[in-house]
Amino acid sequence: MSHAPVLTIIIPLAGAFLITFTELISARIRPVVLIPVTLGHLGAALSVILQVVEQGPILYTLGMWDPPWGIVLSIDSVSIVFLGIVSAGSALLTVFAWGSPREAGGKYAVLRLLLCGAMSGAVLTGDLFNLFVFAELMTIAGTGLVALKRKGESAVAGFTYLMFSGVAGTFFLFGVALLYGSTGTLNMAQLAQRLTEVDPTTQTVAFVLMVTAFGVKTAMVPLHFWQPFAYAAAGGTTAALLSGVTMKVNLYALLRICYGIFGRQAGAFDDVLSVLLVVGMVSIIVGHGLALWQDDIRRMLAFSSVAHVGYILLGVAGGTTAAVTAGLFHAFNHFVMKVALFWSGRGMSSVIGSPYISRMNGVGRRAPLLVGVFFVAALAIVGIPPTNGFASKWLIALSLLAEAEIVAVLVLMVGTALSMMYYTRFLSRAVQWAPESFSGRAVEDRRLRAVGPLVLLAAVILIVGVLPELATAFLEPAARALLDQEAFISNILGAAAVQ
Amino acid sequence: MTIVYTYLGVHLRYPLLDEVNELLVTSFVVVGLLTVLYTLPARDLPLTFKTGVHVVAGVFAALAGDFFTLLVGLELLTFSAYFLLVHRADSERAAVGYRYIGFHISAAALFFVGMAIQYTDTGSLQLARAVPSAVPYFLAAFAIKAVFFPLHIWLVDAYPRAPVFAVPALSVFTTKMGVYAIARIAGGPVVAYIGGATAILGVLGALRQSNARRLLSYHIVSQVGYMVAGAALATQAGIAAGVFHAVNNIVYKTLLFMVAGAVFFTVGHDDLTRLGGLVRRMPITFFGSMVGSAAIAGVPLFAGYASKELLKSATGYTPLTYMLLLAAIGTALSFLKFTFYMFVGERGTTQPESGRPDERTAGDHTAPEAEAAAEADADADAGAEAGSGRGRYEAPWTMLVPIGVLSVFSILFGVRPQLAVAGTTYGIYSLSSLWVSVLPLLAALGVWHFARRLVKPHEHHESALLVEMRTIGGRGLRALERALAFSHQHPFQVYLFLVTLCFVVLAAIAL
Repeated sequence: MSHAPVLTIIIPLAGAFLITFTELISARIRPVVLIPVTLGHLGAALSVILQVVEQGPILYTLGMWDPPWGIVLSIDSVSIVFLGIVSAGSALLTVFAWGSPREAGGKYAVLRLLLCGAMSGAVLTGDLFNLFVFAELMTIAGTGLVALKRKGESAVAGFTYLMFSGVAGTFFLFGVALLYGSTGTLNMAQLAQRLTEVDPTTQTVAFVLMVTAFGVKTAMVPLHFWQPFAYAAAGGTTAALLSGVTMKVNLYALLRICYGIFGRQAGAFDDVLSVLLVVGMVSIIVGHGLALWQDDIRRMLAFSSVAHVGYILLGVAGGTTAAVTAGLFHAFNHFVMKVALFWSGRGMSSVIGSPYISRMNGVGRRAPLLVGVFFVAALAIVGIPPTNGFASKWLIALSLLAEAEIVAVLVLMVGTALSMMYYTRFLSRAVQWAPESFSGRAVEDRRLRAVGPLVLLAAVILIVGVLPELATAFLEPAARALLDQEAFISNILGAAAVQ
Repeated sequence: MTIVYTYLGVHLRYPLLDEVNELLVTSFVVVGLLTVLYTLPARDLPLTFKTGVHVVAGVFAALAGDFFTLLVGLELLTFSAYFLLVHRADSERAAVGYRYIGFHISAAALFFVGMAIQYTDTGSLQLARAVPSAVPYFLAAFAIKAVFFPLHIWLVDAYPRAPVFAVPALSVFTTKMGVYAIARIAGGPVVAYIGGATAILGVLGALRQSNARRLLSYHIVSQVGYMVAGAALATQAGIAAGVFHAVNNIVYKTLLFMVAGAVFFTVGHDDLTRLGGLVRRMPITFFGSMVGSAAIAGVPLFAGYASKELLKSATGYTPLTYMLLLAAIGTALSFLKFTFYMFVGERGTTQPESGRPDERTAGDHTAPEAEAAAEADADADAGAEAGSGRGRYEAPWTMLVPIGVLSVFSILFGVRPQLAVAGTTYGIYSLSSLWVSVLPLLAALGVWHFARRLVKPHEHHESALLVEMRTIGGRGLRALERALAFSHQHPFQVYLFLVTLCFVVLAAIAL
């Protein structure tokens, strides 16, 4: 049995542990740990992904304890999509943070390796309590990252983040406790099997508790209030990770709980899905509506994230293979686009010396490359062809029309128009002829470590936009695996368990 | 050579070139090249490059054979136009670009919905007539592109404020693509009548203008109304006439914009209240203006006459025809005004200092060395008769060549319409046709003679309606902003309570 799955969790956690000690000796040793850890995580994740693509789902039993007694890592085509997002995001962040003076410190490295390990664990685990533990670890690392800047506002934002994640965690824990109390198991597959014996009210309450918990964590309207504070205080580099990657991991947890554990047999399933669809529409309008007036570019992008949770929900809450494929596709695209936006916005803020859009007149002349990447990513996130954002939005619209949800399609379009308006508002300032006097460094950072990740992301946006089949080839099996509850159970408990 | 491509399971073929769009594509290419040439006196390579991109985008869009490629082409047009509009922009022009994007992204979004419905219902994205449930979305999208009244405000907002050298290129593509798309996808008799109404309302707007480029912009609105009136009939004759009128309009409207730009370039402004008497100073430009005006007014033997004649036979003397005739009076009148007050009239009060182009007014900053070179050139030009200050100061050849070529086409399409639309006979020059077409011209001359003060250029104020709409829109948006911002200003205990509330509501729904 290959140990790659567990290594994707252990390597970053061990790296975080090691760096706390190397920092005591000298900051110079840090790359010696950081580079192998990053490469090791990337390699382990890649080998897991390849193994699943070639051989199908994997079950990794920790300590050789067979399920349901031991904790297992259950890896299928859904997990690898999100594992890919986590490892790619972490690797890119290592490069980008290296070029960013404020985020190059030791504490930052420790916290984001912790976050990386926790996220890898959350997308691989087959145990509900284990998922809770990893979610809490994500909260703790995330709080540290948000509060790291040691300014008054980041402390407040860190506290807000902690409170909301804590409340969400409590809701989740109550849900887990209810299920454990009534079934006596925490193994996801066994839970799914025994759910029929549970009294429907308990079932529904547990389900709704968990959906609310992850609603807070993925910042659906009206549970999104913590998010703009947190992202603005965290700064663009970190906010990219929180919005691009962490949000996707929480989304994965939500999807696993909805489709893997509860599934269609649960009484509340259809109600929850239709509520999520409405929440998606509201999120799009409110998120874009609020982004329209933000002066702080990070807050603007944070509200755009709120809206894009809505887009993803319109897909994944559809419940058909086509709809879920579209939703997952948009989740992947949102990762690429939002990271590119946050990081190029971060670069521009450091050119100007301020994150406020009203001060960014003429920034395009000082930072043409950054504005170029921002423009490409903005086109993609608005959904202008031929970018990846268009492809996923097209698929979402088709899946909605197949269910005759014309209102949702119109909401999608209102969102498109609104989002173009606020990106253009920024762009109109950026391309103006007369630059203002800047207090920042006044030229863009052209070192490979700062520009490389951005150019790579822009290239992905365009390549996936022109050849969307590259992505959908992975995502369609993922959607099918997500919707197939029996396959999920049989991967963990063996084919004999599904009768 | 056809490119076959599969995008997310949709089969696409590119390009599409048939009898409907071959004339349009040809005119896009030829006129596009001339508009690029026209930007050269600006000595601004980025501007020339952006114009070139806009032209390529236009040709790309016109060759689209499916909805998807058409959307890509329209987006390319939108963004290349945006970058032309905000070229070396100050805050005001940047705001114009912002509003422009607002209109066109809405059009694109509506087109997207239509396209998705079309694909869901037919399983194909081949360019074809839209299924009934998709028609409203397509029509709303094209109503923006093809400036149906009152959606024309984006055009009269943006084009007069665009860089002078780029306006001819801007005026060619976007609206014509709207007309072409209506012809192919979503025509109908009602749309044709909306086109007729737009033709009249646009011309009324034009008569009130005193700035040459604003006047021409309103005329785009009116002329596009003509095209829609033909193209939306969706008969073969109607589409052919609409497209022919579009092509003619591309030729003579670009010509007129170039004339206005040439005057702007040499004199430094294009305000009709302050222009006049340029006929001896800019004879070639004046000739271009005469030809263009005659063509747009539909004087026999000029391009506009031929296509309007075809339009009339396509509409077949219904009320629509009379609407178009009514609009023709205004057209003739406003171009009498255009040419008269620009070139004939009493001498303008503002004369150029040594014929040097005043580029700052256009918001065009030129690099110091280029400005010095321009000055040297201008001195050489003006040197001939600089003493009296009354000499010729014709525009440079890079402007005159496009003006000349387009003048030739404006006449050629009138004399030999067969070149453009095969099978057109000289029947269009029958006595009755001539009589019907000359009537509006005579009416215009009558008004000009007896009631010229109605159209005399005057100090211009921004249309009260526009100001009002902007204020109301702004007020509504601010109210929405306040409401949304208010919902985000509470201490976080409130939001924690909200989380619990959400859980309770969700549980109530699910139970």
